[in-house]
Amino acid sequence: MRLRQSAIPWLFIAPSLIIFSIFHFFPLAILVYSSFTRWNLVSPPQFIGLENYLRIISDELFIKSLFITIIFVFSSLIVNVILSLTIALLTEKPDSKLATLCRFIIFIPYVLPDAASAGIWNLMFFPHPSSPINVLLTQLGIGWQGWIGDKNLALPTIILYYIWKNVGFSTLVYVAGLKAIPKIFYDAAEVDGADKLAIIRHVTMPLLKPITLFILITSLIAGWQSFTDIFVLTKGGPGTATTTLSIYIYHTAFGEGLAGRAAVISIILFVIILVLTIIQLKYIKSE
Amino acid sequence: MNMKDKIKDIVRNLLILIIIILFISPLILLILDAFKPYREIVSIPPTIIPKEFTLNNFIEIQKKIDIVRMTMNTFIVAISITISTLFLGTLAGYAFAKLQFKGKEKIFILIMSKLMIPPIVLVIPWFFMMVRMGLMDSLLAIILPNLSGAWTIFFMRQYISQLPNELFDSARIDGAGELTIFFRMVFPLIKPALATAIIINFLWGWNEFLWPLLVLTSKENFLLSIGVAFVKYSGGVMTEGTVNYAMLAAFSLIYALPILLAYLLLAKQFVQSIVLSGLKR
Repeated sequence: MRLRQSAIPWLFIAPSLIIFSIFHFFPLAILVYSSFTRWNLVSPPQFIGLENYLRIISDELFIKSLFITIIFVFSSLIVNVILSLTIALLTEKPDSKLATLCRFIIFIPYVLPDAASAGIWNLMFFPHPSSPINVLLTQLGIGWQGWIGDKNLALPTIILYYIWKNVGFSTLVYVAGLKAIPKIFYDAAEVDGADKLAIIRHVTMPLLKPITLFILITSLIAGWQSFTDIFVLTKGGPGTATTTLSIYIYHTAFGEGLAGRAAVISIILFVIILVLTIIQLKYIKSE
Repeated sequence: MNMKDKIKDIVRNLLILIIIILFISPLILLILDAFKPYREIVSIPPTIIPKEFTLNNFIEIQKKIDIVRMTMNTFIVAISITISTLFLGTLAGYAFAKLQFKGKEKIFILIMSKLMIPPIVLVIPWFFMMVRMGLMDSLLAIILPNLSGAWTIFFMRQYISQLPNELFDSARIDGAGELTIFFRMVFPLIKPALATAIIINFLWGWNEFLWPLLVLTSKENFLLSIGVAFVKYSGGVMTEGTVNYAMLAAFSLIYALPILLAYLLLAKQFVQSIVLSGLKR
């Protein structure tokens, strides 16, 4: 009876533990092993030692996709933080109906499934003179652009998409943060004769620092691995103009059949995300 | 209110209005485009409100790819993932919150470390494994890795540890077994948390894209998510070498609709749940 009792907790966690072991921990071992092989996913892998790792260092496309990912992640993040903080401050106080409606609406793109929101962006920015954005540009006297079909504009268009998609989330996190600031802080600042901008700079901003950090790190983790939106918008193209690391992994493994080399890129991406997550955990602990 | 405050208020509301318009216009365009013939979208200038209101886009899609079937598949995947994760995740979450056993902390950290593994690094091994298991091109291949979830375990542990121990202790004294306690006491007590976990897991299941894209090959097994990519990239539904944007709109609308409706009805719940969930998977 006692033995049965002590087995119960294990019974409760066993199903989850088994699933994670089979489908999440064990595959990492396969991934590491396959990074030392030449393998097309179909025929048996051939052991080739460190060749894949050495190849990666001199792989121009890998360096380029790393660079593209960094541009994508950081530029969308910076605009996102500035914009969402602005919208949060704008809509937070006083809480009018219009402000509530605004927060309700900007959250819709975030709630929508990624492939659907990317599909919607396609309808705005398709490379044709009659796409809505091009009609607007033509009216303003600027010529129509190729957007997702143009190798210089494709990445900015995706960055713009990503801001539209994610601003709602960061805004709500900021609003929650703003609501948690006790009124006393503002009253004290007002008594001291501070004007509104000074209050934002010296009272609100420092108090929102942990929230900003939270948004930065969660967006970084999500941004580095984002795949669906980019795939639906450009598939990494035109050419390789929007090939981020995750798209590059996909093309290398499943397009070119170089699973071993793709495994090396996967491991690099994993390490990047691992470091970011550990920073996040450290930060959560310190809060 | 003096003049200066009034002007400030007007400027503020004007800015908010601009933001609303910027964010909502793509969504309105989606709905309008879905009911327009393709030629109206690419005519110069294009029509905004459909001149000819048509359901043809939906009918044409259904002829080329079975969207009814895809919708069912997507529901099957999202619902199975949600139910299973809720059950197994709560089971484990309860054990971590209220039961004592050796190595508890270490196993909890191990399970949480799953959150750090992004799906993109798992798909190469999964591909290999699913070929071996004979599960390629099946919905089961998508459901299996998602039968439980680390976030749900974490969330349930947090929620259940707030419940008073005395509750469970008195049930134990009355001779109730752990399983009875779990089903009869824990489940009814965590209803608010269940709502959050249902929303989050269903959204994630509905969103699945990369892995289904790789593992599903026959159209009758497609999910709506990869259907969007199919409508955009497959020659079968293209018009004169370009994407048929009317069909893309119709398809995206169908894919988005259940989530959109749920959000309209349960906006507060959605916002709370998603802010709570913190990070995307």
